Amino acid sequence: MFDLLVLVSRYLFIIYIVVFIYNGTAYLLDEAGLTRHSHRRSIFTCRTMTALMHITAFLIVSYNKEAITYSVPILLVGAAGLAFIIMGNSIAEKVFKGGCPLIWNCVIFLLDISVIMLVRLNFTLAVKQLIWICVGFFATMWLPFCVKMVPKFEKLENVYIILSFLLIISTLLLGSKEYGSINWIYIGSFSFQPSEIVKFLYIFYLASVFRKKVELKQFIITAFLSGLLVILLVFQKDLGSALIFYMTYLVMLYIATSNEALFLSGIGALMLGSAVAYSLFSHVRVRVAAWRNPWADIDSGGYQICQSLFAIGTGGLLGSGLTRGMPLSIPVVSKDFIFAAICEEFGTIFAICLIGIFMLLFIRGMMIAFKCQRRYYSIIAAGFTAMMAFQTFLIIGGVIKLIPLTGVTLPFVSYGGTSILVSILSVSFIQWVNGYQKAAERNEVRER
Amino acid sequence: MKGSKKSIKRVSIMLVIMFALCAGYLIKIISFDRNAMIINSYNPRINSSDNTVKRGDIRDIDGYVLAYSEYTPEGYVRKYNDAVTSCQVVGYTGAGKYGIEAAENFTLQNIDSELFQRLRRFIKGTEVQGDNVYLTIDKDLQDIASNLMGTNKGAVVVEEVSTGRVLCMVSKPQFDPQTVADDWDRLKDDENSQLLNRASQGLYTPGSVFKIVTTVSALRNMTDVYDFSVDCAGEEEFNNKVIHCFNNKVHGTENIIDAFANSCNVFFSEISTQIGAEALRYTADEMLFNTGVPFDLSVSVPSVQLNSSSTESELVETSIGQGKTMVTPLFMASIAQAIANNGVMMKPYIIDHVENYDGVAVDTTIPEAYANILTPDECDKLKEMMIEVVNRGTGYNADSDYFQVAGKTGTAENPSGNDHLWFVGFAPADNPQYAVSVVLENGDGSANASVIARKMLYNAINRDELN
Repeated sequence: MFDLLVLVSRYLFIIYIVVFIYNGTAYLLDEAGLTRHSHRRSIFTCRTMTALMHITAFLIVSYNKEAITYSVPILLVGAAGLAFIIMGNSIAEKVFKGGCPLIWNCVIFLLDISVIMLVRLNFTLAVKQLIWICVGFFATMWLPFCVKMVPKFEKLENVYIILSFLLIISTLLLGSKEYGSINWIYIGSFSFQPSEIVKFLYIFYLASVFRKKVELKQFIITAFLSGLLVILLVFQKDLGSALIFYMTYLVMLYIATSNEALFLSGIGALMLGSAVAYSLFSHVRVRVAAWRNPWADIDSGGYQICQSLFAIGTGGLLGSGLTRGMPLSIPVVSKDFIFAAICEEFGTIFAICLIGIFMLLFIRGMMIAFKCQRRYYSIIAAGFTAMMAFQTFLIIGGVIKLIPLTGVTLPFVSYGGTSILVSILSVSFIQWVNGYQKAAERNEVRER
Repeated sequence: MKGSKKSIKRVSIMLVIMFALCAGYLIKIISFDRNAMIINSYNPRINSSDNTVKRGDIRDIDGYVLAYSEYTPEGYVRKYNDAVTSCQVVGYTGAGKYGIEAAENFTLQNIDSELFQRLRRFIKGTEVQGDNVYLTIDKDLQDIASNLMGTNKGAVVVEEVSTGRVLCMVSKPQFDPQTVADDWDRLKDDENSQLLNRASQGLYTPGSVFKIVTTVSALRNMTDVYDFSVDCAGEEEFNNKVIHCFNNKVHGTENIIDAFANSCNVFFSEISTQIGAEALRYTADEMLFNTGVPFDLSVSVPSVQLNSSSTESELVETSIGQGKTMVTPLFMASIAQAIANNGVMMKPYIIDHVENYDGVAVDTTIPEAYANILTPDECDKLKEMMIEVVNRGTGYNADSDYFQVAGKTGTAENPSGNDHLWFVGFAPADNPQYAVSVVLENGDGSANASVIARKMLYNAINRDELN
């Protein structure tokens, strides 16, 4: 009977996510002024789908087949998660006046997938993840307050960039190695990745500089400092972050200048830089070799990517069914490779839909940037959206062997305190920009 | 302000394209690369089997059940039904997986209409069953080949000329798939390598059967091949390397047809110096050496290691199939199949079809041409020479009363013991139906490759009368 439930659940999960995306898309089109739907109904349906997915998944992961009983701790975590899905949205909407409910829905859906997958992989990690999620949302609630406390924060560009360099250089000096990159700092038992904090500082820095018209001088200074930052990251072997920073710079520069030639020559410089990095650094060559033919070196360099492809391939379109695959054979499965585990057990159709949810999130983020009248905030929203989008693309593309693998986390889904905090805070800034714009529009109406 | 809005729009489009690429690539993986990708001994999922469902049967072409699963209170267990003669093909499951058990693991475990089958079990208590795999091999031919080989090590492959389907694939020595798990400690380090499928994975020095390739290269690179003649004195020295004919036999003055029939080493060494190392290598590569032919089971890649810097002694050794050249019996069967099929090599296959729990064929292999390695004219010339081998040359033991056999013998010198004995050929010569490849390791005279080849061809052609 349990086997039947698992089997049927594969179809249910696809139905849930498809209905979610349908309603999300309806909301987006509506927001863009192309159609007229009921906002509330779309959002309510999205939330219902998340809740149904959560219930279905927890009925499966909490069942112990050998003992024929349900595990009470897992059910309790499941209940806590369900409460979060139902309440989280309303709380977030109360704190962020004018935050987009679709974004909150997408975020909660992704976080829920993360918790489900982690319960299935390693229950302790799932509990920790849930705690981090709560910490993240708690921190987020203070965000509007903090932004108010620093009224002129667009004028602090020098502070941002100096802090950024201090953090990156301190990692080089004090950092310890994890998965081949030197990007962690340990203070006592507490560890964090400075490059993750630099993400915020860097976006604020660029937005502060780009808020006025970009002259040659600003361009040269930002290009030089960004280049230096990227090179330092490459030296730390943190190729993923280096790429994310570089692409974010290009996108923000392009939005600020609307200069296609600049953007394209930036891409050209990236190719050139990659070629140089390829010939200079052996760790780059190893990554590229593992991407071009992982099977040739399946014992060492290609091992991770091959195990990931085995999981994706064996799972097939519908997946093995939750708990019926072997995702634990994938290295770093709870962090970088969690997408492969989702592909294996939920199936490729579901995984493609999950990419669709990321797309909804990023398109909505870009729409907020598009609508925002104040240039500074518009660039911030675009910057955070682009940064998350590139990170998502890098890791999904790497895990499926579309592009060489760079070890970054999948926003909202991978396990990890830093990753979760940064993802939630990034999205909060986008939400805050949306709230700012809505308030501005209301004031405009009132003044008339 | 307007410009930056346009830029935001364009960036959004770029993001959408990026993610669409990801989705597209996932679809590509699942629809095109999947099977080749997941059948890999590094995939731990191959070794997991769910013993609460009935794994599919492995059957021969006539439906004879070679492997099946039986219900016990502890779950299903795998049983093998007199499958020793097909052991390396069928493979085993338990101590890892091998053969069809590994290659078709996901098919055997695939539960067609799983929802329906599980509901049916829930309501009626029937078995939930994986798909059955039907092979192209015939158990009767497997038994006959095993018998003919006796205690010799080696391999026999029989391929249908028009389709490339493998009717017989025997590798000796054999093991009992039923007791592999118990015998594992003994089998895994056994110096006889019983577990290895010699037919598809065994790499052998080809000896004189490689003269087929040298001949093709001569036809392609020399204008007057038939006028070229050599006076064979039984041995000759090339660049410090002395080449002997078998038993130092003196063949006298011969043209290529005589030399092919007599398997004259001196002649082929001479002609190879006319062809040159690079040209011979090029012909070998055109005949799929160093790339190999894909197959449903694991294969080793045949190799020829000549290049522009090869010495003359390396060249002459290669031309008579010695030196560093390596082939598998399956590959040589495919070469014979291509000669018999006007130069079109069919992709060899051993899985005939897959049928679901309800007896409906869900996947049937359709024969496909793999490569055009010879011209029809070259095939005619080779066929003529291969007939002479059987009628008046070294392959007289393959001469049949019932049909004309065409073939080539080989005796491959090797560092460990007696020579390896080869026969590669096909029959009937005027309307080829089956190609055969036989190799006997360290042949001690108790069996003869040409005789085994003749009998296998007879039994394949008269397969209807078996059992």
